[in-house]
Amino acid sequence: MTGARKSLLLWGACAIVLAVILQLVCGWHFVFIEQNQVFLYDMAYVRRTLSSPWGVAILCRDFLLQFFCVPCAGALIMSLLLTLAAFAAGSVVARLSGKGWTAAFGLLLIPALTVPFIKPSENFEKLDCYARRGNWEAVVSNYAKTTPRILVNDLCCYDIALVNLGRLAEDGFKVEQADASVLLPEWGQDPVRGTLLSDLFFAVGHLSLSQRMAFETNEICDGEFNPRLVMRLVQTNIIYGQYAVAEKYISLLEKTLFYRGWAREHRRFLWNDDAVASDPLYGELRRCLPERSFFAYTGGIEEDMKAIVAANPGFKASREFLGMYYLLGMYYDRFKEFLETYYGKGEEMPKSFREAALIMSEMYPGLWRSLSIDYGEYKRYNDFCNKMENRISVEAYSDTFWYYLMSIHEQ
Amino acid sequence: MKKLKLILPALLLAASCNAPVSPSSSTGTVPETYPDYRDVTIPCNIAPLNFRLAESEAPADEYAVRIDAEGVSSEFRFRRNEFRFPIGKWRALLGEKSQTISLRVMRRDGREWKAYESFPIHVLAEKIDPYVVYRLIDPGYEAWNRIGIYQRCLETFRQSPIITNSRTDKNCMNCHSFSNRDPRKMLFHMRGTNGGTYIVGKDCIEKLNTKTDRTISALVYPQWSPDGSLVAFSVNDTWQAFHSTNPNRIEVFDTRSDVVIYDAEKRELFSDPRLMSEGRFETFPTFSPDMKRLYFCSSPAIEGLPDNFEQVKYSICAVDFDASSHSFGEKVDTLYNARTDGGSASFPRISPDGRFLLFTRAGYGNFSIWHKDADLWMTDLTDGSVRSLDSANSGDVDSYHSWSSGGHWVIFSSRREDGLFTRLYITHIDEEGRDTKAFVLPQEDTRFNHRFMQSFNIPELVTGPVDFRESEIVDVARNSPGTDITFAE
Repeated sequence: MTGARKSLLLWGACAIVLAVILQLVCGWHFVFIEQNQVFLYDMAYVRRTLSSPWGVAILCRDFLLQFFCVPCAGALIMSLLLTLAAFAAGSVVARLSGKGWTAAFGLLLIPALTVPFIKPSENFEKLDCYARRGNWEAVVSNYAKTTPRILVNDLCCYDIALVNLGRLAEDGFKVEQADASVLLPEWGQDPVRGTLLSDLFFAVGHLSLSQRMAFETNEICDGEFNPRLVMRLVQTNIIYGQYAVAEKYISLLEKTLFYRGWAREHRRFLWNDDAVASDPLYGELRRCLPERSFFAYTGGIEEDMKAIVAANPGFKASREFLGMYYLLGMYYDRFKEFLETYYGKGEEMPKSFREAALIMSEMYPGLWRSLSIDYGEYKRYNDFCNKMENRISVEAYSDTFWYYLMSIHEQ
Repeated sequence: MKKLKLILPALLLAASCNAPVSPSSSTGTVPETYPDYRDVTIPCNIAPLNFRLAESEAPADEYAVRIDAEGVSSEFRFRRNEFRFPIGKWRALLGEKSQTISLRVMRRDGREWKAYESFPIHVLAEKIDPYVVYRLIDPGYEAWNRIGIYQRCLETFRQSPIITNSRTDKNCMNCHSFSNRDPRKMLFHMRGTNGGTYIVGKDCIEKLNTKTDRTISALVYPQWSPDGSLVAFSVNDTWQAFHSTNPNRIEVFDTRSDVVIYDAEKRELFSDPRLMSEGRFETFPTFSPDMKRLYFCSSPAIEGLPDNFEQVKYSICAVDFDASSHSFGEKVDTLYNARTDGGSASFPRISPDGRFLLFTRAGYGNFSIWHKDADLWMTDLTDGSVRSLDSANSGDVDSYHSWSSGGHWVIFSSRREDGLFTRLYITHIDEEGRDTKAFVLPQEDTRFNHRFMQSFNIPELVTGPVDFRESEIVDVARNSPGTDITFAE
């Protein structure tokens, strides 16, 4: 084997090992940061970027970062760059020292060059990457497995996944919930939170706040624009029927490598109300637009959601979100009214709502019967109460609203 | 001999390329173009009206555009369906006279040349002020990131920044205004970090702290007096709310507002009880060109905002003014009556000859740049007649406007292209106040307006380039504590 071939093999092996380490340590982080900027296949963009300070470096960075949305690509690209840098630095050091130890010097330099770039992936980044792909089951399972305590963004991501799966009120208490301020966290002009809120509002049918969060967060991002949020702007403008603006954003995404397919596919909705109305997602969300406009959030989220639920009572996501908001905010009178309005005619009620109704039956006797709640459920509630009174463990009930309520009071 | 055999066919080919196109047939239609410059009226000093064929037109192998002007014609060949004209040749075609030029687009499909029907463009000898100053901003809600005040030469395509917030901690900057379109006398506000009103003059840059005990806010909407000695401002308690489904998207409204006047020499404010009444919202003041009248918008104060936002309707009022004594006349005239008309007025601007009052009319409120029904309207001050500029207006927002020095060109912002991002349009107003079809500010790249993701905001025409150094303004912003102004007793 020639020296050159040996050297190539050595450096190749080094790059592969480094790629594996990077993927294991910060693989999700690489995917997560891709959304913060974009590379456009557009001469006007290239010229504009090149004319800015550090334009060449920014262009190169954005070109490489666009591939980070592909799993493992970030680790691979980073390892190749770092290995090349180590090789070059090793060569320089070897030449200066007069000894032909390029490999030795280079390999020694790799850790020094790599460490500053290593940012271990956070669990939220992993959840967020699954959420971007619409892999809601993965969000749910990864949240439950790995989160030891309540982190607002993580829990919000989990709740968004349940909303999208239509199970917020069914499975919401399978993990430890906080209060209404975590179900709907503050924005605080934080880009990560803004993106989450845009997702949340979109999922529950609050289109104006979803659009606003997407617009505002896209504006405060450091890069040219955030493709994920521009996709949301396309969606919300299509649902609103504001097709000219949607087309403008679609044209922008068509200049990217990884979002052009999605963008082209969305052209079919432009100036085509029938296509929007018949689309399972966009049609449903368009029906959530209240006929009478209101000022979003000025009367609080409750008033907004009441109008949205009234506009499209069949849309489970907004209805269950409103109900959960009442439960986590402990607005029980309003929750009762909500139950009677939307579940008073024998409609199938999710688990946590049934559990709450049973507790409220202590204050409003007969409520559970009027809501057609099964006797077995009533009996289970009584069992829980008995165990509590007799100080028997109620861990078996940890996925219930009753258990949540008890925990809150203990705190 | 061999060389000649190679050269002659090449010369022949070159000659044929430059030879005028002789179309063998006509499409029988006027081409669909973007921008739509068909039958528009333009000043002779405007930059070339580059345009392209609409996507609906099938692509051709080659294009030619023939422009026939009085006594001179030119033909331009293009490989793509985007037609960019060299500035020199464009200028030579237009000259400095009033004339109608004719544009004929031709297309080659294979070997055959076909001609579209020609369309006219009306050129007027009266020039528009050569520069416009505007703010570029994302048409957003509360957050901002990239904001800057820029100038654009209307005779070319050159745009340059006057000041951007990249050097002032990403703060908000707004409400730039010039004294009588003089680029050497400008003011604007910065908000948040480095907050203050900046008066940028020929000799100095002054930072003012403009909140006083007797005013409800720092100074807001400005208009200089023509001689530059005074600036009329509104002070406003402004809020915004976000519609859930109303296509207007955002509602910006005042819960209180007054009008005050700033004396630049004494650095003090003065006003009049009728400009600061508790029971009314007064805003958007402006002086007449002779400084003998002050115009402003006024609405009865409405409780219960934002819920009652549609009840806020502004009239345009005027009061006599004596600049030497800082005194106001006894009678307040109503020039546009919101109560009888049913609409609401904002941004009153008087033509340089003092004859016309141009304003934005919408169904309600004063922040008409978000109102889809906002249109430009005009009052003839000689007879009080009021009418809409139907030729210039569109079905979407047509709002903030600025007169050119000659008094016959108006530049304004409009959301007509996509309903969200404002672009600048220009219309001509003749001696009788008649307007013409508005044309969008020409750009070198005809796809620019579609690609560009910011709005053009507050266009103000000026007579020349603004040549302040950005670094000097930044230096004052960062290092000067600012001068406090007072309210005259």
